[in-house]
Amino acid sequence: MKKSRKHILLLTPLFSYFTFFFFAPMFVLFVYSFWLKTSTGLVPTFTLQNYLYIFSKKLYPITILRSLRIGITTALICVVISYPVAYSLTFKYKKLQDVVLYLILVSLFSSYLVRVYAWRTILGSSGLINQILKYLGLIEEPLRFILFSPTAIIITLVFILTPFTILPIFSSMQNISIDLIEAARDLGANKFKTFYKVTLPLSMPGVITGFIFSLTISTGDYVTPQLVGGTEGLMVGRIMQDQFGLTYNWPFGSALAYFMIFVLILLINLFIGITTILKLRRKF
Amino acid sequence: MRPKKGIRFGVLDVITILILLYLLFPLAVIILYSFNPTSSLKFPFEGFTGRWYKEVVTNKKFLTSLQNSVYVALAVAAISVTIGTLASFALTRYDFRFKNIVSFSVLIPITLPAIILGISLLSFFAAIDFKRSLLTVIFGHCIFCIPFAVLVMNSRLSGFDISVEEAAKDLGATTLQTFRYVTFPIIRPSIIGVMMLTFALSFDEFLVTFFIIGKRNTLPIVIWGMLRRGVSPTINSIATIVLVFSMTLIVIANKYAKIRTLR
Repeated sequence: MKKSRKHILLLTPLFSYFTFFFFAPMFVLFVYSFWLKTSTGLVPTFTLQNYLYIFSKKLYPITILRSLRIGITTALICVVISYPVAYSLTFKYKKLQDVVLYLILVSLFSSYLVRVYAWRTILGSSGLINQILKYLGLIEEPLRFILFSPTAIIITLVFILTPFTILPIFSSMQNISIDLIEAARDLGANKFKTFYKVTLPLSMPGVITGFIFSLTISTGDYVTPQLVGGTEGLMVGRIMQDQFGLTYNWPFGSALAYFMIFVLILLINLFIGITTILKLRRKF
Repeated sequence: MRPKKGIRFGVLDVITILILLYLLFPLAVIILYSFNPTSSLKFPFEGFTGRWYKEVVTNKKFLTSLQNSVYVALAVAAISVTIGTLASFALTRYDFRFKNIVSFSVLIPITLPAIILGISLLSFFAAIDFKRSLLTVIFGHCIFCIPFAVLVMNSRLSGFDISVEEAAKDLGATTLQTFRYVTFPIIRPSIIGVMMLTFALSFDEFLVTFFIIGKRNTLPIVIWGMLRRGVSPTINSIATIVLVFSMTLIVIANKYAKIRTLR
């Protein structure tokens, strides 16, 4: 590693770009969250009213809690089902690795809208599942409860985000030396103990990255609840969007955004805390 | 797990295969339905038609938005790869104060919900009175593409053997020559890979775009409009076209730069 001032030159474009198009917008949003919307327009002031307004109507806390429930469930399922795939990719299918990774990338990089829409085609009342059941003579009338429910949202979000969690977990498993695992076995640890004490802690950074990605993306998602959620599946993304598109209550929308960021950071730290308590994380 | 000799088919394999099926089955459904002759979804299929494809490729709205999307994605790829590569050089080759903070901050945009990026950019452009257009979309896309560019470049540059550069310099090459004939050929695959990856990310982006788009639409915005209006078989063929297109990009990207090292 060199020590010089050259890095400043190299980082200048990044720094300027982020300042202008990320930090400045986030700051503007933050400022807006203390402004007030009146019938005549936005009033620059300093008030916490927008934040308090979140708790003024039942709709908002309920929607936020629902979004968090859907987000947490999605993230946990994603991590749990990604793990065996990443594990077998790393330790079992050495030869098939590239093929399977391509299949995962196909899913990851096919259009996000299209993937949500695919589940609508499958779960809808004239969708594939109902068509098949009808064809087989198992039902007369199409089942309606599958589409337009929080469950449909979770099924779709897990489908969309699992590739996103597989990759970081897989990536962190690449650093696990097989010698380490064998050493544990030679020292008398059984399969389960080896997994719990060696493999899992070493792959934890990937699990945490995957969890963070899937939690934030799913909690704040807008498209999935719109297309497959129905009225029971209203999520916070829609409410934020309404403030900016429909009611022009930008201050409230901004406050909601910052409130969500705050809650998500809490949740992520809680998750990391739990993995530390369970001694799943190793500090090097 | 101790490496086993021979192939044993166990629970792990079953789980893996089921999950892969879950990830691929919906895409297969889309592709199959794109050839379905009736405009409503029917099972079992009643035949095979290319009708919806014909309808798509003669659709003016589709073609214009496709053009806009390509234009945006090309610009995004160029900007992201430039800024990302420069930053990655700084992060992998130099020691400096606040390095951890810098490498952490670079990733914040991709850990935030996209909708928040969208509304913050919308507020910002409104505050500085900047007209929304494809240009604002390009600016917005780069914010989540640069982090990916940095990630992929880092994984390449952290394994870069600096001694080859020093050797070139010892042999009398100038800094520029060293870069042109030594460094660049080594990192070129990653640069191509990053461009493909960021192109694909931008090409597919909907949520951020949704808030900062002007009058000219990108393809995802047009698809969204169609989805809101209901089920049309042309959506399936557009989806299939987009799928094949992004797949080609990703296969090329992965060939040059292993995206799988993504963290």
